[in-house]
Amino acid sequence: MAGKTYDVIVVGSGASGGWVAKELTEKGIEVLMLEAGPPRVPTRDFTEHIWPYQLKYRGFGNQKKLLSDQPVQRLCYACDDYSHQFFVNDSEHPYTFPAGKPFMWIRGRQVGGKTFCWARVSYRYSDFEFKGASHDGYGQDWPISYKDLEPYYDRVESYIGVSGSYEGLEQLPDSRFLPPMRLSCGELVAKEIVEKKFGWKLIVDRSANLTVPLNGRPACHYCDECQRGCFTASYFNSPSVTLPAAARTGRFHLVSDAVVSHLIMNSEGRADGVAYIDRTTRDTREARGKIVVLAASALESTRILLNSRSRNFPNGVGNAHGVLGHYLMDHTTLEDGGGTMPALQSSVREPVGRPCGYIIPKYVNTVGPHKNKNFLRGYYFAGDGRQELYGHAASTPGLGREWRDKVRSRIPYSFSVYAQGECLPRYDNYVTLDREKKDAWGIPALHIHASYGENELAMAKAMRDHLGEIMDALKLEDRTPPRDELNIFGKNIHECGTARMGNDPKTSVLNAYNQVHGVKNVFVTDGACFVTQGCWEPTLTIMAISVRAADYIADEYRKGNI
Amino acid sequence: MQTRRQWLMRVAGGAVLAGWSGVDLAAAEFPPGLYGPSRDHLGHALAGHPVEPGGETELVQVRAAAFQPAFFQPNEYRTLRQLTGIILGESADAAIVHEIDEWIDLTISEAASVRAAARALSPLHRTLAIHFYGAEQVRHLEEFDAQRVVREGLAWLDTEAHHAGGFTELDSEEQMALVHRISDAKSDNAGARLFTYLKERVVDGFYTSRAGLDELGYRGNAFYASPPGCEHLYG
Ligand SMILES: Cc1cc2nc3c(=O)[nH]c(=O)nc-3n(C[C@H](O)[C@H](O)[C@H](O)COP(=O)(O)OP(=O)(O)OC[C@H]3O[C@@H](n4cnc5c(N)ncnc54)[C@H](O)[C@@H]3O)c2cc1C
Ligand code: SF4
Repeated sequence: MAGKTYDVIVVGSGASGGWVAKELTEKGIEVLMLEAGPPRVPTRDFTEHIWPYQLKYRGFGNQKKLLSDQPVQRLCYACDDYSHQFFVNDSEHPYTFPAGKPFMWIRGRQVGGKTFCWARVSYRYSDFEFKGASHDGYGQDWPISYKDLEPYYDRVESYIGVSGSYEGLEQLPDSRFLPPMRLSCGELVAKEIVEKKFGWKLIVDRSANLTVPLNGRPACHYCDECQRGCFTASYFNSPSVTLPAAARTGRFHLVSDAVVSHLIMNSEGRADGVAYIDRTTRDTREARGKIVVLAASALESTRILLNSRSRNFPNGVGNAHGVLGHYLMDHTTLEDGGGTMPALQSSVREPVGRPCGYIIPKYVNTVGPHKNKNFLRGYYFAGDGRQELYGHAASTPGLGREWRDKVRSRIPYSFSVYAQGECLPRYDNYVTLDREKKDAWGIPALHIHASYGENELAMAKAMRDHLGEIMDALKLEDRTPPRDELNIFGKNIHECGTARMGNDPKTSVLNAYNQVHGVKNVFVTDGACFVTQGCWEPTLTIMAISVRAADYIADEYRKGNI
Repeated sequence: MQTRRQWLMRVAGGAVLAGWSGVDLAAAEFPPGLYGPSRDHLGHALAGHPVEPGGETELVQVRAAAFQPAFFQPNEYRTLRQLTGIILGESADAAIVHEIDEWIDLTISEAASVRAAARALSPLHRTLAIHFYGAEQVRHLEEFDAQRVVREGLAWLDTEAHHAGGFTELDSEEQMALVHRISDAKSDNAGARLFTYLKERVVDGFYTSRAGLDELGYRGNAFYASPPGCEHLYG
């Protein structure tokens, strides 16, 4: 590698980087991918068929280790006894926030990034997102529209596989679906009631799991433990889907354990490559490329740009107008609503293993009659209906055989429902480099400054009211009301923005093709480019945008324009 | 009682993978970290654990020597075994009681260091925990002293059974009567606190065991040919 200048350097091997590498290498372009984390080995690191009794801590986790090594990551539901290996060590990867503005930053550093442990929920955005400002006057439109992205959604979905049902909703465009999964008994009951009483749809979720075989990958066998890995590669992650496609071209070079610290800029204001640090030896190295694509996840890519300071770029690359780092978003959620459905209490166990739940797509401030003037934009509901496993055992009174028989034969049926809403992009939600704190490799840590605004709080009230109405309509018992407060900022792990796209270099960092304004050979393809986020999970859109940017890069590179 | 293999074969009845002959993309072609779908998935599943050493997953270790409790004194451990047996009932076999109690000993022996780790959280991490779990739960993690609850509870039992020379010396009817007095929050004393704590641990231990999962009839983490969903309500 030493001395070689690659066509393109891609930083990060997750959802975004994987697609960029696949598209570029398949178009004949030589790619060097630098990935900060180590490779994962299925036969060593995957645990989807491990049983709790095979684990030292029986699934409850080594709490001491979690508290000391992963005090932030452990708060993520997926960072547990089985899957903590897919999350970073927080003492090596610090960040800071003002005491009154907690931010939860969940990171996966490895070949594959967070695609190992993601929940696979996959939605297309619509022009309610891309053209949100034209719709209600707030903020900015994206410089692209649904029509621009539609062919790329098609391409991504046909390759990774997204299961779901065709619904024809304007606010949640259909994907090219594999067959949908099925609703559970409780969800079917709820569907009938919710659709009749409120006129909202209740559908099975859309998920990047294979319900039929696709491109050499076998169908899912419904063990429902995807965040622990998947030997059969039946859900989308980059190490088994996009990266192998890149590797098959013979033009893909992967260096793992390479922590990129900054871009190397030349006197003409172009990037010559990047500087990185060997994760294990801590040696500093450089890699040369004609084009650099940052796909290190939203906040990490922005951190690299901010840390690329030089005489020509005193505030970092892409920061001529002080926009870099701003307009951070993550979804809000109001969680923990639910209860039991007494009519479905049973003594017979149902098969379980569907790796998704149900959703009630956004119905407010979109098509249809339901408008709420107290806030802009909207939210959707999600959850699942299923039998309790043994959650009822400790509170079932009694002892011995008789008690165990009760636990076995009176299986409560739980139904959960929570809301996820849009967070408006605001200048005041931002990241900067921390003045003092550095990570284990000496790279300045991020200081994250984010809180919810009036719109989010007003929306939370509507969410809460309607969650209550749903729970009433379903006549749930043993209820847990939704929480009083919105979740901590960042908890949804859908952090986006901070290097947004736009046509005006004064108010945005990237152009419509993810190219840094004024720096032709640097691109950012991950969620940092988002202008708005809707209430929908971002990753499918991140992937479609990555493919579109890669198409553009390949074309322009061929034409000699970059 | 079926073996794990029989069980897996049964749930694999749909033969999702049996007939599958996919392109097994030899890992050797790829840089480390990339992989293709495994052809031998059932083999991995039956092996039930990562085959290669060096991973971060902490598995139950096969012990060379006889089990020595790390927290419980020998007489306390005898009491624990009897209490676990009473909670699970007569039919509980000794191996299950042992499996659960070894894990309870591990949990309680590490409780003090877990509490210390909770108290050692940095201010920012503690702030996050409070916003995440709520202040009460964070305080519980920092203050709840499982070792004390257990030790005081066991001592309480022995005091109540003083006339016989301790809990383990009572005959089984007397033991049952005493346990009934402290079960299901009928009273608030050291014995009742022990019972509440222990019942939760036994629940966690038993229903994560093979026997416990089989007893529940758990039908997950399996091999299905089509997505599980409602079978009967609406068809
Ligand atoms: C538990 C969980 C559940 C989720 N559920 C969903 C869901 O249901 N739907 C959805 O849409 N999204 C979900 N997400 C979010 C989803 O995982 C991310 O949106 C997606 O992975 C982003 O892709 P990315 O390529 O931008 O980043 P990542 O997948 O995080 O990949 C970035 C890569 O860059 C590497 N990197 C970082 N910094 C550097 C550096 N300095 N030098 C070199 N390499 C670097 C990282 O190590 C990482 O491998 C979930 C996430 C988690 C953790
Ligand atoms: S549920 Fe399906 S996709 Fe998920 S780990 Fe199991 S087999 Fe793989």
